[in-house]
Amino acid sequence: MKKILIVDDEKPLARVMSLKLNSAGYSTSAVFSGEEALTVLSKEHFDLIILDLMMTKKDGFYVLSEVKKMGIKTPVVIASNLAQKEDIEKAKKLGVVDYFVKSDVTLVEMVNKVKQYLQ
Amino acid sequence: MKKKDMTVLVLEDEKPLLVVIKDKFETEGFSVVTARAADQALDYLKEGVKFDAVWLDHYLFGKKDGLDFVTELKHDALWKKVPVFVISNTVSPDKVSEYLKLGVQKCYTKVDYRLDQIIADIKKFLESFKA
Repeated sequence: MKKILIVDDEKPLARVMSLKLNSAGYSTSAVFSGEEALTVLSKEHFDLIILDLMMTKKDGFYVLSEVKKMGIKTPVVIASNLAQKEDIEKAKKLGVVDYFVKSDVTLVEMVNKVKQYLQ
Repeated sequence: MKKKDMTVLVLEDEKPLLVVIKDKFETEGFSVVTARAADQALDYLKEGVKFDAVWLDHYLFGKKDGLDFVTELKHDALWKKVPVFVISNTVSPDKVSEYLKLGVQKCYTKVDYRLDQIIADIKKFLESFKA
């Protein structure tokens, strides 16, 4: 079973995303901060990371750069409320495979896209 | 009442403000879910994200404004009881009256209130409501 790590400090949202992905047949772990994400990633392998950017303390951009430094090759998909071109470009430069602006996609659409990446 | 059990939906299009409001609510012990568009927030509700209160700006990303959001919310049997607090810079008296008719708890103008004050009001309301 493919494993997905969800990193989002908005816990209720992370939990619902996790449930939806579980129903779609994936194994998920949800963490609620950048720090937790890096700890988990140093110990476990995932097939995909869904990462929020606007998190307090260590934000998504920090996580992305650390993941790169750690040599982790897991594809990262951003799910963020940040909709500015500069943010999207910055994330893409850090190697993300896709960028979802949360206000533009439904949770179902996001899950369907994730399925495509894991096929 | 455990504040940690309470979740506030912050529906606000201005990113800097969204970040500050989220931070302040979290400092007070609330869980926060943020959205910048009405349809985004309605999607979360449809998918089962539960909220104890909504912080709502009038102007939002996308085609729908705060009034459209409240109209949909108040017409749904499951969500109509969720208290809504409208916080905006430029809501006309007509709009305020429409919001109140739809059943929002209170309308605030950003210039007249400090964020801390509004958050304290919402907290007090929820505490009395859940008591």
